[in-house]
Amino acid sequence: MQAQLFCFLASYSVAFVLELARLWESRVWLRWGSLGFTAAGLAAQAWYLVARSHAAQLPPLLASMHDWLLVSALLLVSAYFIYAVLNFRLRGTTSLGLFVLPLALAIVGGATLVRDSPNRLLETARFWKMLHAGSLVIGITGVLIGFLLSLMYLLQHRRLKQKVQLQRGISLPPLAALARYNRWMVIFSVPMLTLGLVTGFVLVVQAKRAAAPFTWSDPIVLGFSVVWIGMVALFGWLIRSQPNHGRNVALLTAWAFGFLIVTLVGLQVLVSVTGLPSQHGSLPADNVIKLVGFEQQIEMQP
Amino acid sequence: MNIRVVFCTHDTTGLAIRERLAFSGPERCRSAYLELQARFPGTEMVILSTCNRIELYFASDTRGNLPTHEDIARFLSEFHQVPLDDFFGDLRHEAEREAVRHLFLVACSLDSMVLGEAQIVNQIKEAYQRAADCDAVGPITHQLFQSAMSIGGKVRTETKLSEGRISIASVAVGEFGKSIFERFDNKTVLILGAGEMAEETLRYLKEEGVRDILIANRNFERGADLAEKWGGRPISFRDWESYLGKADVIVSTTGATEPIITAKRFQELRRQPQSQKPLFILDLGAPRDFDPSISDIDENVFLYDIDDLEQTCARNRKARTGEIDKAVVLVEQATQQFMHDFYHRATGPVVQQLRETWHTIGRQELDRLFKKLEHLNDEDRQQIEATISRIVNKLLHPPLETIKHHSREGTPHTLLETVKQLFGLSE
Repeated sequence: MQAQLFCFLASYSVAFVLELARLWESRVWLRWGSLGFTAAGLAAQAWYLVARSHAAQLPPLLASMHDWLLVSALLLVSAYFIYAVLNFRLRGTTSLGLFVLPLALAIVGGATLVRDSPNRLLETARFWKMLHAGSLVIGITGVLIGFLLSLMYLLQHRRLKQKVQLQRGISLPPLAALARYNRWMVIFSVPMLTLGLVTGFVLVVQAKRAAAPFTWSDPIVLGFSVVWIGMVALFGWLIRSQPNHGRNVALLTAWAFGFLIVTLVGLQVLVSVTGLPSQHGSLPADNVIKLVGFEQQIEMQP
Repeated sequence: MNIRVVFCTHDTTGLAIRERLAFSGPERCRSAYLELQARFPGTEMVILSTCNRIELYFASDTRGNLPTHEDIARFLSEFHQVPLDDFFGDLRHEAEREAVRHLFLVACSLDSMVLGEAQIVNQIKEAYQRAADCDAVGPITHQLFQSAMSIGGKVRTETKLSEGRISIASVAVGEFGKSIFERFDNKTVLILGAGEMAEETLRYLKEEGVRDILIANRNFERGADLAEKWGGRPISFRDWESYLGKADVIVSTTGATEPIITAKRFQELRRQPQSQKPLFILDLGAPRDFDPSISDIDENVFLYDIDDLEQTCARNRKARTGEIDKAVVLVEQATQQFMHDFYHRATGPVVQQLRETWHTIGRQELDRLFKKLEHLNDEDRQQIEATISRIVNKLLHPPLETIKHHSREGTPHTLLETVKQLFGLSE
């Protein structure tokens, strides 16, 4: 399994290096090479997730936080790959890899820091948990894309205001397109995150009924709730604001989305390292036994 | 092989003469080919005539069959009815390797007025096609022009000679305008002044699909003429400020001695809600028409003046110039390869005939020997055959090496004739 994780980590790394090389030599074969390694990485990553899912007898979204982060990275890189291939010759799409691949590498790297043992808590109330995890992972993928779009917008805006060209080899979409995509990403992501949060609370209620020791002090639930309030505020402001305030939108979404990403990944790592009690797949192995559902405790009794 | 080119370009000859010597239009070209074919039968020829150059290429595989520099000058004079003295001194001519190299430099746009321009390859392709339609080409010109188009493409792919825009208007629209807007067909362009630069910028904007064009000029009639030409609408110059909220792009070349709008007034106009959309201003006036501080009024105003754009042009030009050496190396390699292939093709038949003749003699002598020595077994026969083959190859080695050596610098016509006579080879 570790060898396979190395495979797609290495593939994305090589693709990123080829993207960097295009800053000096703008050759078409470098771009094809980069997309080729990206495709190889995607295939390896999908294979890795499927294999883990079989081994854990759980869908990747429900297996562990490790798998969950990898699904986010997979969606992010897939979206980039499909867009890049379909718009191979479109002006401004040629440098997207420079933005997407480092973030994907960071998420895959982050996935190695969180616990990868399956969370048996997730075997009950599967529908709600799938909805919870699915909407969150899609929402967060939207957040990741929105974050990158915001960065690109700010970079493009800065260079247009300063009246300079970008570094040779870098080509970004026009401001109008970046602003439009960015706006849609916020409008898409916040409801998905909200759905994820709401379904999470439904699961809390169910957990209480099942006598599972859910605690409101779960750091991931708390952290996410705080960030979500900020996101909803951003969403409300965006709906009311003039569509021409592209830079303000980009600036706010870059901060908000960046904060969300750092908070979520940071909390996961924190929980994994410190062993804080959480129901989000990052539990030390011995705690899992204490927190499993009532039915499983019965099964374990002699 | 014999190749000759006679030419005049933007470097050697003024536009007034080039215009008179140009072969404009397919009919004029066809007449020229008919005339040239009548004057120089059995010669392959291609005429390349663009606004920046008139070049006539001739090729023949027969020595002494090519028209001279003077013959071609006389043809040009008589065909175009231009006195010879008016242009003879401006004509340049190259032959053999240098003629090939010249065409390759032209195809790579290294000889163009705008370094790295892409149009020339198409012009060469069209010139060759027109010559082919007039039955004026043959194997030499075919290979020559195919190689020229190939090296033209290779230089564009392997160097950055064609990268980056180098005119003010193209940089304005291509580098900056297209980085602000996704599309231009739903944008309103306001042109202030009807100068040459405004018109050139308008041409690029039209290529991007701009449909709504407003033209305000102090001389209303002139503005109306420009509007009619580009499908725009003339407006009074006094009212231009009232269109500021509607415009997405402003191109200004009024020639005013001081800014036509102050930052304060501009800010007032931008306060209206409908005026806060992105605005791309190209101030191409010198002195400037827009106060530079207007750029800082809000995040959606993108103001560029001549200096801003010229810096980008200069950087792109410099980047292209830095690629010349790489392109020249590729041209030299292609020329070398072309000449090598061509000379090899010229000597090939003689070399092949010599080999076949000698080996046939060896085979005949072996057959006679084997008839006399019937007791020889297969192994003995093979040994003898191998020995005779080695002897023939060793005897052939010195003359073949000599031909190969001499063909590096051109077709060794005298040597080939000598070899044919010495060894009794047929024509």
